[in-house]
Amino acid sequence: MKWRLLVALLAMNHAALAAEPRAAGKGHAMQLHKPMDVQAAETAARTREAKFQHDGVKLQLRSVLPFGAGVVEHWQLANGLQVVLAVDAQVPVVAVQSWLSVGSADEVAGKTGLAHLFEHMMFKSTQTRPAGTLDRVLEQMGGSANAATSLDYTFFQETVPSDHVATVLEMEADRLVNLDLTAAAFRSELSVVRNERREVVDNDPDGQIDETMSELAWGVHPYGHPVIGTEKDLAGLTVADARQFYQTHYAAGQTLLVLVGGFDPGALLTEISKHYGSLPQGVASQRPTATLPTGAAQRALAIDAGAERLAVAWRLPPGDHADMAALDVLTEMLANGDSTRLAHALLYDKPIASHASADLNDSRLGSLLQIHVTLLPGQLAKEALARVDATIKALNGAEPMTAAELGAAKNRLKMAHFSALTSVDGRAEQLGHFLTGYGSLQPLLRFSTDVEAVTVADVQRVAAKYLVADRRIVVLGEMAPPKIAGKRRARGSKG
Amino acid sequence: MSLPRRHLLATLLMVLLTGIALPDALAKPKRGVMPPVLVVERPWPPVVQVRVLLNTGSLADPPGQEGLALLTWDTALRGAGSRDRAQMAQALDALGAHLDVQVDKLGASLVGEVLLEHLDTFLDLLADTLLQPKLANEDIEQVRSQLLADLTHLRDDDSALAHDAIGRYLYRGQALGRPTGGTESTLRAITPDAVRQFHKHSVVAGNVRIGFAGPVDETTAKALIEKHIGLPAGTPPKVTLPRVVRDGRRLLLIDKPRHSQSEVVIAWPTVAAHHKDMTAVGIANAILGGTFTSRLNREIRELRGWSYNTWSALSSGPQLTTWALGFTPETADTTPALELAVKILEEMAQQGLTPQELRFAKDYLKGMHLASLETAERELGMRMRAQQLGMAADAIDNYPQHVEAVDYKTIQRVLHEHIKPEHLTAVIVGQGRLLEGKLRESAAQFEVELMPADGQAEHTSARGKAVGKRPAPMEEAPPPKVDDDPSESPDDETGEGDEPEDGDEGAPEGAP
Repeated sequence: MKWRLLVALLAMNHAALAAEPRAAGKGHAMQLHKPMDVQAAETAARTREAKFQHDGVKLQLRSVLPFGAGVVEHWQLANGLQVVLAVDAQVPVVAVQSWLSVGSADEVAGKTGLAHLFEHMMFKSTQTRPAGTLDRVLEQMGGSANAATSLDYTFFQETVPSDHVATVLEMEADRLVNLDLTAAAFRSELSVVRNERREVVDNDPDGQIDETMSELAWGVHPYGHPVIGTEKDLAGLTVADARQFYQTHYAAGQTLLVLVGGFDPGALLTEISKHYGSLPQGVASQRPTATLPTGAAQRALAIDAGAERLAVAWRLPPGDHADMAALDVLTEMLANGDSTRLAHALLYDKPIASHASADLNDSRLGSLLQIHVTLLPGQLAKEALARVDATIKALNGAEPMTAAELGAAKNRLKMAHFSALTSVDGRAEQLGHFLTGYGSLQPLLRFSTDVEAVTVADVQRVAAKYLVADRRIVVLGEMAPPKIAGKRRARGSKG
Repeated sequence: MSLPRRHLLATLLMVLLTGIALPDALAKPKRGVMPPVLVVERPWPPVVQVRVLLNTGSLADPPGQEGLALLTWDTALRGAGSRDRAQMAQALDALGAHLDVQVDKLGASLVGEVLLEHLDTFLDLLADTLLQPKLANEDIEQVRSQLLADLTHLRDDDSALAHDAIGRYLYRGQALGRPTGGTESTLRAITPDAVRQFHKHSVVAGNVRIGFAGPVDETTAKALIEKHIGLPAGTPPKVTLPRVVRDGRRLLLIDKPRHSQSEVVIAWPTVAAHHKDMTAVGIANAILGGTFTSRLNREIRELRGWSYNTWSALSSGPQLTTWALGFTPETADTTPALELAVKILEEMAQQGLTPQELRFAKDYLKGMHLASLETAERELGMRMRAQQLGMAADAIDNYPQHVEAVDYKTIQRVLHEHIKPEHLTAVIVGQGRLLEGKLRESAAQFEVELMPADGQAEHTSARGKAVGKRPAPMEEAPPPKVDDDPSESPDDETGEGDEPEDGDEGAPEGAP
């Protein structure tokens, strides 16, 4: 028998065990591989560390932890650059991601959108490479590149065949400190970004609702302005702003390098040291701090659409809070599945909506549990809100969560967790998100264990604590009224 | 039906090792024909994707009943076997699994994902959905309402609206111009009996294939399918495709008077995916708009800042491929951007690529091919699509060699033959009344037709919306693709310069 068949079948055997009563407790995780010997991996990493030190290379091993089917090694250079490596010898490609500890929350008043615009500028020329070189070299090697900006961080990702990683590292290190910011390139890219804003916000009813939700939920909090920036602020940005932003936020000491895929970690660390070791550390900028806003908020927004929308959110603590696992389960049980309570209330029992979902958006300074509903044509967002409120009230009162709902939510979360880790890009993104956002991989590595430990009582407790009026924000996306001859009502906020 | 010897051994092992009940595993294989099974095995993570692909899609919708395939399969998700909708949803949710339907011109797919530990139970639910959906009148009516709502939602999304419209406008009057999601009138015309008959004729031996991606090997997968799924004999609906007629430059302008931006898509039909020139067409597409350094991206986005979203893509369909490009400029930049895009196409058709561009595109496509096979799900999707299109057995595995074999003389000829700038179809969603005059006077010389967005009432469903970081010009490296079953389309073995016939999704694959 081939070993692969054996392991698949053994996995099924574990499944059979797992289906037995919960008295068996935790620990029925399937062993699809021979378990990774973390101790042996750490010993190998320590040996590499000793060799680097012997050779005068200042690379410090911070930890070796189990991750997925293997391990994740966490290293740091003397200039503060953090490096995370996760080898997957099964794949012929490598995901290379650079995470910068700067997001839209770090922007100052009047300069919103600068973090995201700067993400675009990072694809322009450096002092030694003309504009477009990075994309051209990456594409010529059969790689791809992209980038994203969030509230708390900015990251740049490349996926390339394994034998080209060294070239990517050289280019990444170059643009981290040697970007050549010209006025012409800035003007052109600013135009691109303003077009992006028109596409994803100004001409998109869902984008308008999301932007209104952020404004209402966070107010003057650092999360209160849109990541893409306001049109007014974008129009006023200058190349001098971009240069200042680069000097302040882009440096080795504020960068995390994540590599996942098929590579030799020793050879890769040598390349990283070669290209990044001499870069200046930079001066760590103070990250913003803020307390969670309080108070309910609601606004009706006139949208240019054929059906109404509803967004409801509750403010939650930061993503590394101890309640997050229970909140994850709560989010799942509310709307993510065709048998969930909101699916029944909105989509199936006297249906008024065509779509309903719930998301938990975790961030460093606070999180949001959001429900999004798209109504059927002719149905009202206000009615959907009434049904959402009734569902929450029942959960916190006469109809508490059942054991079946708990089990289903846990299984869906387990699925989602594995799905996010399927590709090398996905694994790198998860590692970067947690280490940059929370300074620790533990929330990611503990995810399955924490979720498995959640009880019905935990979910009821967090529902009663967080799904309350004082934390609730509502955006009603209502149909713009039809034009009446001789009269015209202005678009925009009404409330 | 007797179990093949190796399946018997595998099943016995499964029984011994898993605790699955012996009588169920051995004594009750489904009656009927076992469909072919394709497996892409990866040891981790412990999640299995299962794809059931039926070779009957919306091209089999009878005229006047467009939307039938979609209505049928969306309704199939609402209860099957002994379970009604709520019970089926509860059973799937309890496993943490999901099961979705995808319908296009060529076929319908049931696509599900489940934790490995629940695979056997999941396959039971999947088998019921495939073989014994309830298709109850009440469920058909509820799904019909949802599909009608989707037509409204489509009009709220400029990108989806433009992509839908280009497929209908490019192939108007042809089978391919008929909308997969139906129209208000055709959806209302479909009877419950038509839904049940469509299902009955689709789910027959020879018309269904099943794929697994994840930590399951072929022997196990086949044993599981033997246990759960047996297909009845039958003949699937036959599809006859007319020829596509090219008729100059036409532009449909869909009026969104409040919008500050235009969604522009330009498309033209080209050769079938299995045509000998298709690999060269893929190379040309990489240079046209398939990469961030492509001609379109350089001229429209990087140099002028006219659009965030700039792309070109190929979409394989029955007997031909749709080649399309697009961008999203501010209203004031729409006409010059359109003129520039047409000029880029004309130059490419007349002057071809440089040798450096050819080398660049070859290296790009060969490297991207590695990434496209990285995960089991991606590889399974590619392989099943290749099978559906009737591609050669080595089309994916030997793709890098096929790319390398394209020489400079070939690429120049292919560009000249397969980009026909005098025959282009365009759709613009934007401020129609403001743009109309400028477009009629434009050097691009399109015949312009203006219609209000409400005039798109007879439209297909918006299924999903791509939201990217930087929008990828092309989301996947196109392997050499071959069109549908040659036995159904004897004319599609076309030679050099043959006129393409018909087919396609309309909306290009990989288009943002």
